[in-house]
Amino acid sequence: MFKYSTPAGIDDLHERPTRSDFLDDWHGSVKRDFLANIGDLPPTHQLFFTETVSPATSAEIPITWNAFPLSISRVVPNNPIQRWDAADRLGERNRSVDGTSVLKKFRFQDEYCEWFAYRQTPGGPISRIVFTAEAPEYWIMLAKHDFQAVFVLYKSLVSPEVQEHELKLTKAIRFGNSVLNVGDYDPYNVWNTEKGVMHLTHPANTLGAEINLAAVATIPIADIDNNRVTEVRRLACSSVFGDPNRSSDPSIGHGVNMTALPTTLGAAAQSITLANPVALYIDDIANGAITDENGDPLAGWFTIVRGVRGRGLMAVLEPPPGAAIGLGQIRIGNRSLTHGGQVAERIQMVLYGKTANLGHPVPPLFPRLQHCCRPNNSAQVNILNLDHEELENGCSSGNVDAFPELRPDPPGPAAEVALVAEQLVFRSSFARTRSGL
Amino acid sequence: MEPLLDGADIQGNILPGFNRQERYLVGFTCNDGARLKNALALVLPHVTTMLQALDHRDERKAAFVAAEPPPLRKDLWLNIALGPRAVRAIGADAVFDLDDEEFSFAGGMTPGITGDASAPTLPNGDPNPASRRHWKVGSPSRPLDLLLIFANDGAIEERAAPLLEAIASALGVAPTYDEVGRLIPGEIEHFGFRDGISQPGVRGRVMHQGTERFVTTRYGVPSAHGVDFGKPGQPLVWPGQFLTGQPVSEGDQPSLPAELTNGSFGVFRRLSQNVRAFYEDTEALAGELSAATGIGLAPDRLRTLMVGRFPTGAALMRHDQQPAQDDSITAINYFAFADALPEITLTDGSTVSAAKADPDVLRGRRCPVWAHIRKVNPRDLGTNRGGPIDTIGFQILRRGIPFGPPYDHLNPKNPDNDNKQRGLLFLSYQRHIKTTFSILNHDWMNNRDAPQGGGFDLLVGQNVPNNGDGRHANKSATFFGPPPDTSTVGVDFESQRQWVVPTGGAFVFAPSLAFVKKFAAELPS
Repeated sequence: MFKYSTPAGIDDLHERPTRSDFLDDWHGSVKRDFLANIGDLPPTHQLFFTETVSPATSAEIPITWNAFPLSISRVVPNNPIQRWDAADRLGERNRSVDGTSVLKKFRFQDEYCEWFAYRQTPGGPISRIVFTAEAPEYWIMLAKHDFQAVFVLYKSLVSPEVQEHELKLTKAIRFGNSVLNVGDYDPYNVWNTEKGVMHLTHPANTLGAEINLAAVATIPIADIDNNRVTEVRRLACSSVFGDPNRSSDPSIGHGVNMTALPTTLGAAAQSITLANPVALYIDDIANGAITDENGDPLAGWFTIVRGVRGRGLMAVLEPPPGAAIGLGQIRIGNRSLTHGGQVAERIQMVLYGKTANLGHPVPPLFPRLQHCCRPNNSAQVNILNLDHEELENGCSSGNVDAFPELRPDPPGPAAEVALVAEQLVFRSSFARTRSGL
Repeated sequence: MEPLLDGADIQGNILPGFNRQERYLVGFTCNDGARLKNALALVLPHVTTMLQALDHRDERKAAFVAAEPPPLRKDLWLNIALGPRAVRAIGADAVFDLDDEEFSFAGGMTPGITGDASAPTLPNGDPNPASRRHWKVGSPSRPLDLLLIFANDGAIEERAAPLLEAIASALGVAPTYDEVGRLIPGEIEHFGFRDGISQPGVRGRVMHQGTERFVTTRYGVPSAHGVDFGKPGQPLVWPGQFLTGQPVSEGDQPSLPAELTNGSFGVFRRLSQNVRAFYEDTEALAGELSAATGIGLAPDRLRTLMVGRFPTGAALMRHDQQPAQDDSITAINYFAFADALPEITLTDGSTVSAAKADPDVLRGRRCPVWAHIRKVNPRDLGTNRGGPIDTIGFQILRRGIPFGPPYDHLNPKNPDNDNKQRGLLFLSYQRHIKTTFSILNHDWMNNRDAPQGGGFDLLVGQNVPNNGDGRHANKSATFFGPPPDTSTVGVDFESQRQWVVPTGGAFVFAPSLAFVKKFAAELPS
C-alpha cells in the first residue's frame, strides 16, 4: 500500500518508540493536504492526483531553480554586497492568535532554501554556512511526537549550547490554519533564526505551499483573447500558485502546467503529482563552484548532511578535517567568500513530479485568476518585481498592467459572469488553503 | 529611441562580426606597459571598425541575393583584445571597474568560472590537455596579454606577417600563440553541423555611407510576449548587453568616459574536437538506445538530436526529417519549444511557414532537453533562471571559427585524422561574463538538470564533479522517443568520452578605438 515517506526518507526516530506513530501521522498529513487541494480544484480540472489513490507511472521529472532569492536580485542587481546583506536580514511577522502582538522572526530567503553563516565571533570570519530546504511542518510534527529527538537534533546540527526551553513557545502562535500552544515546539526559535538554522522560516516556504502550487498549476489559463497563457511569468501572474517574482514558484508552476497540458493540438492531458517523498530539495552546488585562491576546485567542503545529492535537506559548507585554509581563503568564482548568499547563488534547488494517464480529458481554459502591475516606466519587465493583484483590484496609482493581455475583463454577458462566479468560488477555496502560510 | 552607435569607434568583430574566410589569432605574453603602448600605436591604424565590417556585410548580402558566392577581399582586417595584466600595465585600471561582480576578467578563466577540468594529469599519467596548466594558450605560466585577431580571405599569415613582425619587435617578444582558423565549406564545424546560425539581433542605429540604418535589419516580424525581432526567431536586445557604456533598456542613459565606452569583454576558448571519438561513440550509443527502446535510431539521427538541428542547420522543431530544401535565412530560426508558431508574412511579402510545438516539452520529444541548441537557448521555456526575457538577456555574440584540417570521413585511416589537431576557436563578446557566458556554459551546458532537467549538453558540456578528481566524468541524459511515442519512462544513457575539450582560453577586454588611441604611445611618424 502506498505511503508517503518523510522528506528524503529521513529517519530521525530510528529505533525510538515514537517512530511508527510519527510515520503514520506524516503520511496522513501529506495525504490530507493532497486531497484537500484536489478537492479545491474545479470538477472540470482534476489533473492533480495523489498516489494514495492512483499510482504514478512515469519516471521522475525534475524541476529546478536557483536558491538565491530572485526578488532580491531584481531590487539590488548591481551591488552584490548589498544583495547578499539584504538576503541575510531577518523580518518579523505577527503570528498572534488573539489580537495581541506576537512577532516572530523569519528570513527573507524565499526560494525554499535558507541559510545561516556561523561566525566564531560576531562580525568575525565565517566558520560554517548551513543551508536548509526542510519545511517547518516536518519539525512541528516531529516535535509533537518526540520533542526530545528534536532537542537532540538541534544540539547536534545547530549548536551544543541549545537549551531545551529555548525551543518551546512561551506564547501561542498561528501556523497555517492551526495554532501552536505555549510549550509546543517553536519553529521560529532563536536557534532557527537569530543564532542558527534548522529549517525554513519564510512564511511561503512550506510544504503546504508546494502541494498547493502544484495543484493549482494544473489549470490552464486564458488571456483576454482566450489564448492559453504559456509564458512562465505571465502564467504566474494570471494564476494564483505563488509569487511571480520568485524563481521557484513560476518555474515549478510552469513545469507542472506544461507537462500536464501540452500546447500541441490533439495531445492528451497527463495527470500529475509530486513524487514521493514529497519535499523541496537542495539538488547540489555547481561543479567547481568552491575553489582555492588559485581557482582550483576544492572537494569535500560542501556536503549534504541530511538527505542525499539530488534530495538534500540540509547542506553544510565548512573546511573538511585537516584543511589548511579556512572559509575566508576560499573563492566563489574569482571572489573571496564573505556571505552565504554567494554560495546560494551557486546552489540548485529541485522538486520532482510524476505523471500518469488517468483518462482525464484536456480541461477547458480557465479565466485569469489574478493579474500583475508594474511601474509605468520603460524598464524591462524581467528586472522588475511586480504587484500580484486581485482581478477586482486595478493597478495602483502610477502603475499599469505588466502584461496588458492579462488585464481584468470588463463586465461581460451572463455566461461570462457565471464563469467568473465559478472562478471566485474556486479562488476562495484555495485561498483558505493558503491563508495560514 | 534606439541609440546611435559610433561605428568608427566599435571594433568590427564585435559588431557586426568578421565574416571572412580566415582568422589568424596571435597571442603575446608581455606586461611591459611602455612596450604594450608602442604595440597599440602600431595596431591603431589597422584596427577594423564596425563601419568597415558593415561594408562587407552589405557585399555579402548583395551576393546572396544575386545567388553568387560570397565576395573575397584582399584587405587584411585586425581586431585586438587585452588581458588583465596588459590593462593594468598600460594604466587602464578603470577597466576593472567594468568587470562583473565575480571578477571574471580580473581573476581569469579559472575552473570555478568555467567548470573546466583541473587535474594536471590523466589517469594514465599523461598530461591532461584540458588542464589550464597545459593549455596551448592562456596557461598561468604564459598568460594571454595581447590577442590579435586578423581576418582575411586567403594567405592570411603571409599578409599579416609584416605587421606582426613590427608588433613583436615593439613588444620585444615573439608570440606565445598563433593559430589559423578557416571556414569549412558549408560553414560547418568539425562534427559536420552548420554553426553560428542563431545570433541575437542588436538594437541601435548607425550612420553608414551617409545613411542612418539599424544595426540589425528588421524583417517585419510580429512582436511576441513583449519581444521584438530582427529576423524571425532573432530577438532584438539592447546594445548594453554587449558593449560598455550603451543602454540596456529603453530610456537607459549610461555615462562612461569615451575610452571606456564601446568596449566589450571577450571570451576566447580554444576548443579541441575529437571527431573520431564523436562518431564512434554516437554510433555505439545509437545502437544501445535502439536496443533499449525498440526505436531504430540511426547514428546520424542521434547526432542530430544532440545538436537540435540537422547538419544543414534545419531545426528539429521545424522539421521531423531533413528537408529537401534548406530553410531560408528568415526561416531557419523561426521556432520555439513550448509553443507552436504560426505562419507569418514578412515586410517583403515572403512567408515563413509555421513551426510545431513539442508535445511533451519537459521531456523533450521533438527536440531533446539535452540538445545543444536547447541547452544554450531554451527560447520560450521557463528555466532555473527565469523566463524567456531572462534567457534573451543571457545571449552572447558568437564569433567562432574552426581550426585544423577537416576530418577525412572518406578515408578514416588518413593519418591527419589523428595526428592533426582540430576544433573551434570560440570567441564571444558580452558586457558581463558572469551573467551571460557563465550561465550558458557553467549553469546550463555543464548541468544535467538546467535550464530544464534531463541531461547534460552532451555535445559541448563538461561534467567535472565535486569529487576531488578534477577530470571529466561521464555525462548522462534521458532519451524519450519522438512523437507519436508517449512513453513517460525514458532511457538513461551516458557519453563517456569528452568530445570537446578546452585546450586554451582567456577572458579579455576588446576596447574601443578611442581606448586604443588614448593608451597608444605617440610614435614618430
